[in-house]
Amino acid sequence: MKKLLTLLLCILMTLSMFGCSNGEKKPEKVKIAVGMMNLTEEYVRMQDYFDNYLGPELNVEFIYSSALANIEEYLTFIENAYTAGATGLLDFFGNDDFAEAIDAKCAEYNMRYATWSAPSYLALQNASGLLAGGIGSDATQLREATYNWGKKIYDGKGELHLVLFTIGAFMNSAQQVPSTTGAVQAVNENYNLGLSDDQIKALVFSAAPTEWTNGSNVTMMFVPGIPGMLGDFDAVGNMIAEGKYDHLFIAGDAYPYFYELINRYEKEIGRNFSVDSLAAINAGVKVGFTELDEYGTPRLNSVLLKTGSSGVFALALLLNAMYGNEEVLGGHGVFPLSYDPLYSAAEYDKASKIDSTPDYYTITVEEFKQMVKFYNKDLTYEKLYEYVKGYSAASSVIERRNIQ
Amino acid sequence: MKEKIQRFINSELFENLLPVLILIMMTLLFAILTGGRFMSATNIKLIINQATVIALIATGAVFVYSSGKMNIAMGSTTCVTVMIGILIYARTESLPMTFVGSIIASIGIMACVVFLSNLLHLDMQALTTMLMVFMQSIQSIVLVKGSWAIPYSTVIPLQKANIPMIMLFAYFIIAMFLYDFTPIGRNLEYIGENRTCAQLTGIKLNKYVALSYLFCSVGIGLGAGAFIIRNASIGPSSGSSLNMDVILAMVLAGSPLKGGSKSKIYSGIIGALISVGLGNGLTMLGIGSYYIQIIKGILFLVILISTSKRPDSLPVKQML
Repeated sequence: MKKLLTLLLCILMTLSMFGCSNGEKKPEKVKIAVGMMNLTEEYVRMQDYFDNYLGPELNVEFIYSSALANIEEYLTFIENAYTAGATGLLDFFGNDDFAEAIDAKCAEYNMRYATWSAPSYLALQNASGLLAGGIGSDATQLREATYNWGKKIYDGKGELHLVLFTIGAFMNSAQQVPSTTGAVQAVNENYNLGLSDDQIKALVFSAAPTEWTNGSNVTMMFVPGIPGMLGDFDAVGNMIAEGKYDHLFIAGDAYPYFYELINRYEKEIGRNFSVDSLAAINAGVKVGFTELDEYGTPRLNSVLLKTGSSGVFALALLLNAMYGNEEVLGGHGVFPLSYDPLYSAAEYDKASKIDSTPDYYTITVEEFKQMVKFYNKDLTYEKLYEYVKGYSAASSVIERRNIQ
Repeated sequence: MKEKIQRFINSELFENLLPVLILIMMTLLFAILTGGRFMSATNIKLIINQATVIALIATGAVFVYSSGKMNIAMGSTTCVTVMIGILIYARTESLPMTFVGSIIASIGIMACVVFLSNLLHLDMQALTTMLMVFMQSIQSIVLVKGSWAIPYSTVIPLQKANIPMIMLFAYFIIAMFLYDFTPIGRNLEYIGENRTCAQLTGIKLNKYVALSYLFCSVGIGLGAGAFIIRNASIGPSSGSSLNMDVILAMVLAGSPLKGGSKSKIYSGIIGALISVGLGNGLTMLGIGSYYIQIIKGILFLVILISTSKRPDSLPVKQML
């Protein structure tokens, strides 16, 4: 009996040594609230990625909001998430007007947060000091990316009659202002229009449909509006239906809203429309590239693609803050994502596979851990900045995952 | 035994107690399932704070709905009242002026509707439909370029001092007094129960209906004040579900939408607490936000069906 007990004790002690030594130390479990304004494909993919892939490995649990229609719902969600045990917030609401309220609410609960939002939003927030940082559009980088893309698609030859759907540029949107500006600068240069910076700025910030023409071969119609609102379809549709434009530039990820509209007008007015848009990976863009219109051309000419993994990079910032590694956040600034231009269905086809399966995830668990100082003791602000910029490019993901 | 239970279920006491029992049962259930976290002082205070806007508006709405009328412009009127309040603050930088101004604005809006109703001999209910569209348009057009806000730091002291809660309790006490201890409530219920009989007994229908809408507007004004304290801002899509939340609160607390003697003045508060507590508790249990709306909808249907009295037999048999 004694021998049996001793043997059992030895076995148990040996097994417990294995249990102690195997695997790295995991941080304490944390709950993170995720607040979102729109239920996009990107958000749904992100939920799946967080819940079934990243969360279990990092010992993180997530509480998701529904589509938040307004600030009241968002503040209520933050309150409820706090009482449910959340100690961090991924803020994907992204509205300058409510930055102060969200910051104050997080301060009430001492809740760290990271945002997927504009630099202007970041400038307004952080009275509490709880903001970890933001993943978003670096204005200069986006403007340059759109400019280079625009130089290629508006080649300066022949006539150009262009509708620019500027979306929220009139509201100083940190994405649509630089994207529209870059596109107009490219047209200005390629067609020698002679527009000054102030003139371009005035056109970009137009709060109502505004036409500019050089009187000969170039006409630009600037149309502002928020995607999904009936007024937008009317405004853009009216411009297209006039029959004098043949290009449409969309300054944000709004192509899916216009897919049917453009289809219809191409048939009604018998004119082949060329559409170029900022985009994230979604079904509407895929159809736009792969389906041919009556003229045998893809419905979508080109896109400037954002891979759509903002959430995972924002999570990296937040976890660094929650684990007490402020030094890698560089003063709570913006960590910009990269954009890649795509010009064909073949190029898009590769990019569309990003995040579709675990083999093609933008960020693996190991790559994610490189961006969190708890796991990567050598991490600095500069390295984190480069990780975000490098890992977020579609071309980088295609190469790293060997997507064919 | 079965008969005794049936009699108790059909009794007035049970009908009056049912919403309170639902609230208590819900609280106990969530307390057990969350290991007591639901019942923490912080969480209870949070639920009450979250419920104040709906409870204020719903308490005023009981006056309207008990007369058998409806007011579907409550949400949109609240939002426009908030806009007016924020404008007043921008001019005066005075929160008391903001709140007083909000109440006066709300009463003013409803007084205009009452005036139009008397002038044009139009039903108040139909006019509130037009009012809803008008108010929503104002909100969309005026706020198209962005939200209006007051500095959030100005409302934090009011939040900490629980001003919305104080407003709610004060308004409820006055409402309860008017509804249960003066002829106002009784007459409104009579009108809701049987309009013709009420008129024949000498009750001035127009007067009491107008009074009910005006008192509802006081609730809206106070709700707007509580909204400003909670959010300090308003956007183009703010308050989009407020009207439905108020109606849901009243139904969850067993107040019939067709009015009558079964209307209860406390249904606004109890219903708001049930609705908000349900969302809070389900979030604590990790239920996704989408499912919370589905559960609320199912509960709404169950209570609506269970509180609707159906005839025991077909009409033709009753006639015989």
